[in-house]
Amino acid sequence: MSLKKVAEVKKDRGFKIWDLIIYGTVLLLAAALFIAVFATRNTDPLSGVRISVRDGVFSEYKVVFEYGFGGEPNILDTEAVETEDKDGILKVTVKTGAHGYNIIEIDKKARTATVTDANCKSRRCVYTPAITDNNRDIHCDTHGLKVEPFSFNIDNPVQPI
Amino acid sequence: MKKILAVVLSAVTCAVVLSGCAGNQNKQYQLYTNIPQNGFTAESGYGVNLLTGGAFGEVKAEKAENAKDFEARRKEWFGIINTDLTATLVLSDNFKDEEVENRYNSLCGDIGAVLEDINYSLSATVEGSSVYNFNNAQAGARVEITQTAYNVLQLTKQIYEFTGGYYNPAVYYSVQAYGFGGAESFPQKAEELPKDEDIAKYNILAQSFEDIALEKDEENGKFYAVKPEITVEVNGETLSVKLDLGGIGKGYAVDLVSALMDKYGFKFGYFNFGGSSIVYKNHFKAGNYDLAITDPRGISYYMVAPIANQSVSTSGDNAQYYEIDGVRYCHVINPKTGKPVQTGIMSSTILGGSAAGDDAYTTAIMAMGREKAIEFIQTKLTDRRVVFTLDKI
Repeated sequence: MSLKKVAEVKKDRGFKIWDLIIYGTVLLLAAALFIAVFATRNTDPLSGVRISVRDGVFSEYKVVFEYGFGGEPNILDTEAVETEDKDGILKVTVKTGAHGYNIIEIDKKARTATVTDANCKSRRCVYTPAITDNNRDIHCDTHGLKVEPFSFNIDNPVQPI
Repeated sequence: MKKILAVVLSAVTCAVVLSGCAGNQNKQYQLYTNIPQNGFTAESGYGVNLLTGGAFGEVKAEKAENAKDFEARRKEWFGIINTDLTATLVLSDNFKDEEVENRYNSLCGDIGAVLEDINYSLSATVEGSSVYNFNNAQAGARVEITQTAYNVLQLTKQIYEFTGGYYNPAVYYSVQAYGFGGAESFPQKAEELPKDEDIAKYNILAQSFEDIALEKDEENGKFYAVKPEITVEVNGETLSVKLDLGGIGKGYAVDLVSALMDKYGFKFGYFNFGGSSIVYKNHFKAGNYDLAITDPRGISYYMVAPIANQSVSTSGDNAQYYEIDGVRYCHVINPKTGKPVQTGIMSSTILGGSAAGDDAYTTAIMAMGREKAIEFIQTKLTDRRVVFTLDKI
């Protein structure tokens, strides 16, 4: 390599202003995406639990039980839902179909909800991690049961219609 | 060369970023409202057109004096009029007070009775209901109906006249033919859509709505609806007029529940029937609620307006619809054509007035189209806040 070529390579080394603009723009976009995905995530503690059941895969879910932490349990289907409140744990038994059942335990102090027992085939719902915030839910596909966060915030006057 | 490439790439990147921020500036859709500019906030994606003749007034809201003692109660009812409808009552009050708790229980009991009566009177699917019996009676038959059905039918006939026939609950067959109103499935292709000749016959029956006679037997305290004699033949079957009062029934229920909330002294909360007819009282902390009206072509809101101590009803072509060959077929039927509305009006919302009337007027506005709707709002709905959205067509 001639000395002239070596001098040219040395001169070209390092970032040029246009390289920096492109890299900067890419970094800005990545940061914006990060903010959009994570900063807007609802990390508030679990505000309540809603349990819904459907008759079949193509049926609509019907809410059978709601509980907002600090409030009273709201049983919307008294034939399907039984509750037992003991030592800060609200135990909700939901009958599904002819012989199915799921037991959901709501820890009032820890503000968590988990399915502790079910007679479904796979018992995937039982092994699904507990709901601890407003970003997770639990499904029992066999019984058509859904446990999800329920945010009933009376402080918010905004009403979507 | 590298510099040119860098400039081009930067320009493209900036354009992508800016288009993401300002993509809604195209104003593809328009909103028309008689609410003055200072009475609402519109999203940037909509071009705003202010109408005259509106009486905005002031939203008279009230805050709770002892808000710190308040908690929320939420109760839902299911299976009313159609099984997919949900009615929700939300109240804020001091439920630790036994007297409040007793009032709450009485209110819930009364609302349950009202909804049961509405269901037994107006449902087209509940066997034995007034509308069910009317629909299944022979042409010319005199059918006994409940007082609730009588009242709603009377109101419906008034609204039919008031809207020049743009609200007509006798479009039952068209609703079914296009796959709505509990029909088994939507048409999947153009060949499965109902034939024009059948729709024309269904519409003959729909236009006979004004011939339905309502009778009240003062002596026996009984109420009757008399079916028009007219019949049509479709596919070898003789059909007579049938009704679908779902378009007004929800609003009627909301009006009754609103009166019950007043009767039992609950000033804070709301009652929502099916998501399209709601009565708002006061928000216990903020005073008024902020109504965020859903964009019929998006996932967010196109408008926010304050509301308190008023009802609101809304209709839209985005609630139930399907598309065939790029044409949208929605559940709102135009009584003038017997076909799903394709006037360009995507949604309509009314604040104030009675929920039953508003429920019907929002449906009528969608069928009227832009020019007639503007005239109707500016001359006949001056006591309400009205907004409708228009597609670019």
